[in-house]
Amino acid sequence: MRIFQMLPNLSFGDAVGNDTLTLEKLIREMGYETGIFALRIKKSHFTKNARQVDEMPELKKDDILIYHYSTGDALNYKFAEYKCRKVLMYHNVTPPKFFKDHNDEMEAVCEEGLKGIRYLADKVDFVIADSEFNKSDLRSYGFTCPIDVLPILIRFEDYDQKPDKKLMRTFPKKQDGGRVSHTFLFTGRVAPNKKQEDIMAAFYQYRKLFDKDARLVFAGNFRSNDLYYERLDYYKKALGFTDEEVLFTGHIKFNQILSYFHLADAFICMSEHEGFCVPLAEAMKFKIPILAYDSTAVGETLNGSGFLVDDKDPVFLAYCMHELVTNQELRKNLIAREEERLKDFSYEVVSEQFRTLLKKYIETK
Amino acid sequence: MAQEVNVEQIMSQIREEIKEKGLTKDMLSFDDVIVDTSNMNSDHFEKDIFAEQLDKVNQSWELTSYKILHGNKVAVVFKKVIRKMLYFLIDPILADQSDFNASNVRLMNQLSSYIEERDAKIKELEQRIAELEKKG
Repeated sequence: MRIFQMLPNLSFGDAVGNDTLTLEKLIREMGYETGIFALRIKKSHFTKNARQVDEMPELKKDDILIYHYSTGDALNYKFAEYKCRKVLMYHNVTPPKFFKDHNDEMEAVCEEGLKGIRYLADKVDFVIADSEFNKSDLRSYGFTCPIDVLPILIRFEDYDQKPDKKLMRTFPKKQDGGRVSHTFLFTGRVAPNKKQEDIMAAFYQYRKLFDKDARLVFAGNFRSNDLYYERLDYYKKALGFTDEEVLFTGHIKFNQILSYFHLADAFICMSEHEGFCVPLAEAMKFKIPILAYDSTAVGETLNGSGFLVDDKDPVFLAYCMHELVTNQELRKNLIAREEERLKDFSYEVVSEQFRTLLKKYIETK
Repeated sequence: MAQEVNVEQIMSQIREEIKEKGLTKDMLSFDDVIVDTSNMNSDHFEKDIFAEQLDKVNQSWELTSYKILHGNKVAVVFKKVIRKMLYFLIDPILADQSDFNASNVRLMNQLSSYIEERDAKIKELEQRIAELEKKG
């Protein structure tokens, strides 16, 4: 018996890609022959062993094919045709409505993603979902097969690498009467469902009310001709922010992302659609208090370890941000809770859960 | 396990304080930020936008590596040296891209002429239909 993984796009750095690469190692350690097959592979040191889908050896009836689902693609339909045991790893699909008026292509891709997941409802044997939220999503799409929940597998030891020294040294730390201003962070690609504009609006009020020298960093990839990014950029300028005050980093190296985590005083997430939200777990790793909007899987991932709000009023959020960076008791409490929650996502815990789930599935013929 | 954090209580205090101080969000809303998306995502033809964009691409299809350099004297000299060193690498790429852009712009100009010709033809035919209907 062999266990292969398949997905449309593989790249090191995105949550699904990293999950796939980490699972490959785990499956190999379990003693199975394994491999990753993708349609589009972003070549890097980490993805060098991955191969094209059409290079996949012919599968036998007892082989297991794990398919990572997160987007619309023709491969979603091809997956159903494989004559082997089929496991779906569901990372969720962003609802197309978020891309309406911003990106027709992405809107269509997500639409296709939702169509594809409904198509697969009765064609897989077992599903692993990143969260209870994802599980309930699948039930609503008509999945009746067993679904287990397993958090995304994150190799937290990678985050112990040294951050980018130059960035740590040169990042401006303005002082106002001896007080160093605070830095707020959000990591993740620039996308309409992430609602970067809500963070910016809250930050505008925060600077107005509490700290005129504070900084906001959006560490994440964007395309400069993306209409959503264009609007954000326009909004940023209209609110009077310079590039130093509100920074969109674009694509940066991993050790540079680490630097921003080291530099941040609080992590702000106003996203309105997340299947798990890896950046929250990353912020926990760096002991950064989190302010987050309670939507989709966000509350579940935090599980009480963050400052969860259900109101996006910028003034209210500004006050919450102020509390988060100045109320030492609150910070201490939230960080302690983060440390507790992080144990649930530790590599050892999640990998053991994966091994158990896989063994259980293999034994149920 | 960490002590219970009463976030709810903090939030109520915040709401109370905002109410007391009468603070309101007095700022530009993101919804009011309208970057003209009609040029990019369009489901109908608009002649003015077409003409405007055609004019734009006709002016900007050619790429050049020459850019005015900014900075102090040393920085400008340094940048000039770098630019000279990279000419052999960048210029052929820019030339290829300019060729490709030129072809695209020619294609668009042809399409524009085609639309004009069709428009004239349709107008002529509509006129004839109207005349025939009048007669008939």
